[in-house]
Amino acid sequence: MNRRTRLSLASALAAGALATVSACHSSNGALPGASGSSAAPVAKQAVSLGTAADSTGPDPAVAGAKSGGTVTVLQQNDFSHLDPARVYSSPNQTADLLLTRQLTSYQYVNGTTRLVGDLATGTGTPSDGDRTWTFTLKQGIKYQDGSTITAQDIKYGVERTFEASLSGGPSYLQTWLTGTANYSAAYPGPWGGKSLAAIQVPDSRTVVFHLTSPHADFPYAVAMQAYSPVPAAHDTRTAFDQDPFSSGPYMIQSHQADKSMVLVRSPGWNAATDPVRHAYPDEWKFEFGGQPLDIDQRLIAANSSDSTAMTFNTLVTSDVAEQVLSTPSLLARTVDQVSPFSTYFDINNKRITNLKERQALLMAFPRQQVREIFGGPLYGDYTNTILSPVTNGYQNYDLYHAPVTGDPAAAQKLLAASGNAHPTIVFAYAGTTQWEAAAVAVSTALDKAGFKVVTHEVDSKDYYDEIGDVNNDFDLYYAGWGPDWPSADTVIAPVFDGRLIAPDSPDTMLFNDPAVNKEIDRINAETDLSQQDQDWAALDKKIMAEAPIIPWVDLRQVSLYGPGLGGVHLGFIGTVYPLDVYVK
Amino acid sequence: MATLLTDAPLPEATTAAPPEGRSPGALAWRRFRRDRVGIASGIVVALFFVVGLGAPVISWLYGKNPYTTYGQNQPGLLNPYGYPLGSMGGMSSHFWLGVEPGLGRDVFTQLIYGIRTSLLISLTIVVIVTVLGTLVGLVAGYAGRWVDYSMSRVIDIVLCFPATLFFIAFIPVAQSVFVSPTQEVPTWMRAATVILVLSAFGWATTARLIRGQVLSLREREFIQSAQVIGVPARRIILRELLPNLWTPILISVSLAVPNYVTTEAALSFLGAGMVEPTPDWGRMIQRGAEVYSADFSYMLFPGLAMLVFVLAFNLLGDSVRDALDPKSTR
Repeated sequence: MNRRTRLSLASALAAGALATVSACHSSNGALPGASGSSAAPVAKQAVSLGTAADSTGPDPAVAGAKSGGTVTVLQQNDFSHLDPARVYSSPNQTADLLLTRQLTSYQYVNGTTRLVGDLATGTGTPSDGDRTWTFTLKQGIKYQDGSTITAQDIKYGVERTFEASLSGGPSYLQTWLTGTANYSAAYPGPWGGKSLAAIQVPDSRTVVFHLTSPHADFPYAVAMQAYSPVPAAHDTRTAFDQDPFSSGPYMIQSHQADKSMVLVRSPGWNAATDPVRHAYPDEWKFEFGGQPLDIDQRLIAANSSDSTAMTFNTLVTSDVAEQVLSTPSLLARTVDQVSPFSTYFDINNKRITNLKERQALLMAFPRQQVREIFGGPLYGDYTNTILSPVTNGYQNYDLYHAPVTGDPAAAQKLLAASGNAHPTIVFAYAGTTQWEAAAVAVSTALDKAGFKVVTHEVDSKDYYDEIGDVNNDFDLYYAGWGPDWPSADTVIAPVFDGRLIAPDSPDTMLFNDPAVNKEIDRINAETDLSQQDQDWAALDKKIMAEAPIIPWVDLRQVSLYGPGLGGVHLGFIGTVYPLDVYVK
Repeated sequence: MATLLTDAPLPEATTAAPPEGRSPGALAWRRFRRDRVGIASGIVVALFFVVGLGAPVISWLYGKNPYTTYGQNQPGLLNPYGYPLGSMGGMSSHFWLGVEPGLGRDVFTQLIYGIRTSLLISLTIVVIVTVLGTLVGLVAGYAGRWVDYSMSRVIDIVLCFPATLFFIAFIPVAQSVFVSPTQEVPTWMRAATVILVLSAFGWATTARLIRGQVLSLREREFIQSAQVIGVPARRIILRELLPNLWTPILISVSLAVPNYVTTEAALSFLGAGMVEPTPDWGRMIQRGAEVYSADFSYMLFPGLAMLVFVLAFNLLGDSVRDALDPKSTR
């Protein structure tokens, strides 16, 4: 299950969560204050696989960048995990960009993103119909103590993710290697002395993964921070979380939980081997504990050391939005891009089995009224699809042509055809002022269409547990999702595969269509990635014909950074990307 | 004999009585009328009552209600970010105090309906708290010995209980016990929970005050003589003691009302009180605190209204005390 959904809720729950204004997004129309925005949106581009030449390193230089200096990162909370095996939420993943390297990684050059070999010389060689993947490691790749990163360490790093006590990380490789979602039963992890036969290490520079089913997008999966190398000799087990042994360009100098953390250069890291990390600053200082508004105000004031400060994921709050949007000097140092997170309203497909009724909900839903409460166009861009523009193969379509303000007349017609003109709908929402207001807007609009609306407040701490309950008594609730890599395999497969329905599973809409499940298997078995992308897009449309969700907005991220920094932009993880940042 | 004693003027009143011989009530009214601050705050308080209880009438005359999302229904009231267009939160001849950011409801009607919510809830609490507290205080103070001891310990425990924390934790739990998730928590039930929980902790203050008064009164000659001639305890409590306690009761009532108005608002502010769509000051101020830098007036009007109300009620309470009990000093 993807922890990133939690982040997208968190940002939606944050007081006046705002994301950015992009001049490029025509769907929003002209936005006041947006004309000065220089930031490019995350391109609606495919993330292609780079060649071996792209993978050699060093990373092509950022124009005007220079080495040295200290960057301060202001974060609302400390990173909950740094142990790569437990890293899944986007702030944690962003921190681990600085502390770990993977077999493959995303390379950003002038707004284009490519997947290239990071520790490996390329993006892997498939054989046996994409069931076997072979990676060759580069030479000269070293840990913080100068020892060499070996293929055994890659294997050990993946094996650690099987340990039941190292919870919280993604489960893709574990499931693919063992063929079962209950992978810890198949292989308990390396601490008991057992080795995983599905990963073979013929020599210290070659690692071979044997999957139980074909996965053409395997190179993307190994780019996740969870599958970083860990040397068995330095595995401090659960203590690794506080002080991970660095394979990346920086290592931890000091870390006071919930207060501060300082990263300094790792002596073992060699820029010549690394095609994705620049590591321009000498030092990273993290400060934890500020409220979003405090962080915004410090970044606006940019006093002394704050002039080289940034934040990974704190959004510009509605309190200062007006000021930031109307001040060109502030707008010029704002990251302003659509993030990979899509948000939607789940229709409980187990309770509402009538297609016409689900379609009526979709037609009547006041998407604009609700978005206005969360900051309007700053919050995100309307979407009518399941996949977001950052996903490979994304196709924009609008199956229902539902107006964003809702169409009560059309909904009434659908309800009349459904046989029950006045069904009762339970709308569950997290107990914050904004969601309370949203509930008013939702019930007003649905009332007009003939629904009888019951609004049910859920304590915001328990929100995901309550809607994750497979026997929940709600009909309509907010949820969100961000892909783990730019393939629909990490969206449609986990969210809409009805066989995966379990407590807290991402299939919170409880959608289970055997035909769709079968199609997911069929697409996953395809070996051609571009064919997969096309088929995923077709499946997206097919699923929406059943109206299991009401697509709402693709979230945007607007974050400020200090005037003393350059090379700041959003990364695929959905946070401000630290690897191209330099001190001016 | 007992009747004669009951009708005897209060010792305080006797000393203050001018020669022409007025009743204590008339004397208090005379003193109150001379207090200009008292009169002014009394008028303000009366105005709040009229506006609050007459909210539906005012809303009907004004042509708006607190529930319609005007800003979302008609263009030109809110900008694309959900904030009111125009100065001072969208103040205009149509929307006297502007519109709410986000939903675009009318601020003026929300405010006057908010008064009604606050007043109805806090007055109910005050009535319950006063009746219960007076009874407990009377019994404890008059009975003495183990009755007084045990009741006083209960009062101590209630008084030192971390009440605010309890409210926040208990109110949602209490509501979820009685209402299934598929049903809306009815507004009357939310109000009832707030009233119940606040009353459960509020009576102790009144009880302790009354007990103290009773302790000093019961040593007075008129009570002792009543006891000596065999007047039943119940009659002594109701006919001898209670009439002498009206002054502290009235004063505590007049100071408790603004106290409960702010407490109720604080609970709503913390998310444990009244919820949407019931108009409520606490929630308006909470929303105002979130949007204050972009739309200051949305915090200003409910904040000002509450300030004026609490100030006026407290001043009125002071004046009532001065009028009823001229010997006490501020």
